[in-house]
Amino acid sequence: MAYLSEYEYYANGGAAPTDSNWGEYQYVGLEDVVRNYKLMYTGNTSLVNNVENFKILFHAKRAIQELNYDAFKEIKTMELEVADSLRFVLPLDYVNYVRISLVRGGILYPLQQNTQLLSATSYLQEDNGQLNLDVANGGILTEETSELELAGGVKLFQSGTGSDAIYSNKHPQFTIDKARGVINFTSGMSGETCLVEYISDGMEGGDDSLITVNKMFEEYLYAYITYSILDSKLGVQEYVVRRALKKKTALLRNARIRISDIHPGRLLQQIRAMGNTIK
Amino acid sequence: MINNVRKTVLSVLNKNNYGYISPDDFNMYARQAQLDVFESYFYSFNKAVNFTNQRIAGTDYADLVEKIEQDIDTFHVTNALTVNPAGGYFAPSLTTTGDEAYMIMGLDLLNDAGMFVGGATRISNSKVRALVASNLTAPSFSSAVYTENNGTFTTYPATVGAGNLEAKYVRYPAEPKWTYLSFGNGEPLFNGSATDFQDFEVSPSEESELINKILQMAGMSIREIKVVETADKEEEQRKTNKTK
Repeated sequence: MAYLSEYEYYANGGAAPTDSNWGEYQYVGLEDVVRNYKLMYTGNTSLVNNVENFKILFHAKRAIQELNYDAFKEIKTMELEVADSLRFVLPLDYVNYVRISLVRGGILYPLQQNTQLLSATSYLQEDNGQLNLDVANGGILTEETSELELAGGVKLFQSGTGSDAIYSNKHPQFTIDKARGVINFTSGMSGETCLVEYISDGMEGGDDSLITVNKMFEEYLYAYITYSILDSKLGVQEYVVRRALKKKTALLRNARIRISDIHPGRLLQQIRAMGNTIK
Repeated sequence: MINNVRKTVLSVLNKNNYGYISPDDFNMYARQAQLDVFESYFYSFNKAVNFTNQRIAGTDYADLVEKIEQDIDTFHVTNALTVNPAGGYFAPSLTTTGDEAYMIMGLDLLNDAGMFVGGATRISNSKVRALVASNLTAPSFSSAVYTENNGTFTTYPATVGAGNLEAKYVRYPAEPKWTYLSFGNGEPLFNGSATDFQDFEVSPSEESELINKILQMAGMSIREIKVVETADKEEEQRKTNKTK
């Protein structure tokens, strides 16, 4: 992408939305990454040659996905009110959650995941207990929402006395039903506002023109693509593959340090705070 | 260059009264010779690249890759493709772009303002369905692909507008034609200003190669083995020098 003028950057050249270019300089687009890679790292006299364009694109996207999972700090948020169903459908591009909070009076109360909280599929039954079968489709008829879900799930019975300290919390709890793609809350969340902070894979709904990566990771992307291609290519010497692997790993480490936002001023403030007496 | 080549060929053939070739025969041999030289560029290029990768090629005047690239680039053209009413785009041909493609290097996608927005690369017909079906490789405007079927390009995605697709390719050289004026029974006189005149398009440095190849074919035609042998020997010598 060409460099922007200040008018284009601050006001999008007068077009709406005027804020669409703000902060854009931090990122490099997928298209640029693929184009640069083809120009600079492939060719007759390069380590990588005779490779189809779609392979470069595939590995570039895989690298961006991997970065989104554990290296980027690009956290997305979604706010919704939890209805009586106590269910929150996972966001469209959800891969994993970072934190799920209750929003009350402008304050976030992080909720705890209770892995012992169960919900179940509720089968429809006749009065005599027989299952209602869906003859046309060959399955069993089920209720849209089970009673357990409406009640906020059911907890596993704990043997012994006292409550399980791990799950002791005055706020509602939740569990994630990955197979159904929903978050189930306990009944205390009904009518409350919930904020889900989550990570995605950065694929922007399949629109390649919107996929970007922080410039700190640009060199890592090239190294990742090179390694992936060499690793899967026949006849490449093992030492060449290992060299590519080392380079990729080192660049990821460097990029992680760079993006970790370790600022001397803040570090100093933290150290000063360590000496404070808690009254 | 074509007149020099013909004069030299005739000079060799007339020596010792070996024989004579007519302008039509000469044009036929010239076409074949030029095609041979043109094809050899690509094999030479591959050889030169291998030399470079083995680090036994030099730079500057010893840079063979650069020299052959320049020779091939003479035939590199970019032309807008014509929409096929049955779907897709017609591949370059004499009727659509005015020339035949030897090797398609890729397609360029342009926006309505004529600005380059991305390229389309060829993919085999056997892979295209899987490529389109995969989320990570699905073609987009910036990473488009195309397949070739029976002289028609099909682009993926298919939303590329008419007239916005250009093909980059290496075309075949135009057929050389030595044109002449005829004066009764006399020797035909070269006419370089005839409308259908066409000189050789390969590099002037290939003149000796062209002469040798035409001599080989002419020698076979007039059944004069010595001419063929001499031309063969010359050509072998040139090839050896090129690969040293």
